[in-house]
Amino acid sequence: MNCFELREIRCQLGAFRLRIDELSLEQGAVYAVAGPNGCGKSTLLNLLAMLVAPDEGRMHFKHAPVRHGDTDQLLGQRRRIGYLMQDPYLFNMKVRDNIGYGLKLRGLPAREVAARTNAMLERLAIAGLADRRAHELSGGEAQRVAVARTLVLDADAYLLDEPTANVDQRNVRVVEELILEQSRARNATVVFATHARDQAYRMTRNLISVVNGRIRDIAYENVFAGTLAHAEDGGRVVTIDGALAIRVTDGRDGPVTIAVDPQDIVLSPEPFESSALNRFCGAITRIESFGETLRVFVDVGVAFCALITRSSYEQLNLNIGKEIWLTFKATAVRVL
Amino acid sequence: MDYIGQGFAEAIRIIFTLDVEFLSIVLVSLLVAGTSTTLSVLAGVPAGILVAERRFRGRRAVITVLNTLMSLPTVVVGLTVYSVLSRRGPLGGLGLLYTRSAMVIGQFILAFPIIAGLTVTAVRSLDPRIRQTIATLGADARQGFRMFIREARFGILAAVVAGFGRVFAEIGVSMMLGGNIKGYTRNITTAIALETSKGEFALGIALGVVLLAVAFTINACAAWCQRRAK
Repeated sequence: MNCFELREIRCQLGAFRLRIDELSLEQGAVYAVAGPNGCGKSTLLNLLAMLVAPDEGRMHFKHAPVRHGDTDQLLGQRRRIGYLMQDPYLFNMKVRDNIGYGLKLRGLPAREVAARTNAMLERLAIAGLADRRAHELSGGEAQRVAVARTLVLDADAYLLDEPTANVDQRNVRVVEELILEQSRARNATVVFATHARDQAYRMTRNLISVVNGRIRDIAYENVFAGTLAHAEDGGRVVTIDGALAIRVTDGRDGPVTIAVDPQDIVLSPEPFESSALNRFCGAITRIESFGETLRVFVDVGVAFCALITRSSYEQLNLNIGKEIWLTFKATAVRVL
Repeated sequence: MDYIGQGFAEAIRIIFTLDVEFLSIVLVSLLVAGTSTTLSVLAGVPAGILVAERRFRGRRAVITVLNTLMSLPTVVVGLTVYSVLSRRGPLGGLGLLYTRSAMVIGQFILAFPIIAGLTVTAVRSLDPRIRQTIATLGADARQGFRMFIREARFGILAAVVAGFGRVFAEIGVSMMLGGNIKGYTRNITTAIALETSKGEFALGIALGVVLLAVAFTINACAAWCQRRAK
């Protein structure tokens, strides 16, 4: 089931323009919205949060159309969404009242509001701040309070704009874990904007790339431009830079852009015997570590990135400069 | 020079023995200024919020007029209201001149622009993120408005305090419209003026102490509001 569905969206905000031809976000999945500052990440979240109405296009939330003219329905839909704004504002009241405010608006009894607020305060290790006023907090503390205020809500979707901005490194992990935990517990969709790639990889493999107000593609890595044509054996092949030939299953002809999910690439010290049609050898140029997963960059004429676990990294005994084989199926190549 | 010292000594006696005339004068001041401030709050706070929030033609002009009227000379208000309420004036038939009601009307005209104008400033200086934050947390229009006003509360309170301070300490309106009638419209400022002209300093000094104490309290309240509004 899809949580959000967007079609043919055009949204103009001042000089900025957001265009989304098609975007479906699955219920319960976690998405990272990546992209440079000012590319449209916040606008996308504002749109999903139903704070701004698109100029054109259709949007559905849990299969119900989002109609900005229908205030009552919109309020009901908004109350199923927890939204953390970039640079969040805390009300001039105590921390616990800030966190409980959204629950109170939804008519929860005072006792339950207090219990859930306390649980959230404990979870984020800010129980000591409960009776402090918002303006007495440091930037990192205020951010965690704002996170608590959003995640305490029962929601079908959490939209989080840079949820760990200003948060110190030790607490970043706590916040990230809490986000994933709430998502799992409530089967809630999470869409979070970040410019920290490592954070995006730690939390999800679903990346939404926004560049100049356009959603590029959800799996946006290993993106190459080439020419698609028939191979001599009748198969389909994309030629990149006139040299590298990648087998695909798509039927189009001519110039195309392709993407390969880093998870679908197998690394092996010798040619990997399988039915996979794409097999290349190259030298490792870079290795990035993100907790239990690592990203290995291999130069096979173009730079490919593969995702592997820490245990296979150790098994393969990888290091920079080492020759390694990449293998992936023709069906793993997406023609965009 | 002796009369000043004697005046102070007598003033202390008046204050601590709760002299009846002294108390009645203070009560008139509190009653009239309290009533005019309350009415100005009821009209001025909603008007200020409206001007701050709504976009309409002539809005900037309204704000300029409100700011100008904040420093309206009290004698001009006295003169204007007098001409309306006097026997020959359009509302002369109501017989309001030299009553507490006349003083309230005059003081309302003084306090309203201050309370409305400072409310406009208080609401407009609110953080622009408030509205969006309220919406993202799922407030309906009524809940959102309540929270919005709650966030502006210290700024609005400062406006109320400033309005009360203005009318409590003014003399022009009270003298011209109240007439300084003993036990009825004689308030602190008109009594001080009268006592001084009579050469009786004791009651004047005692009342002056009350006026200063109220002014000090008002300033302390205003400063507290400003700190809390941040």
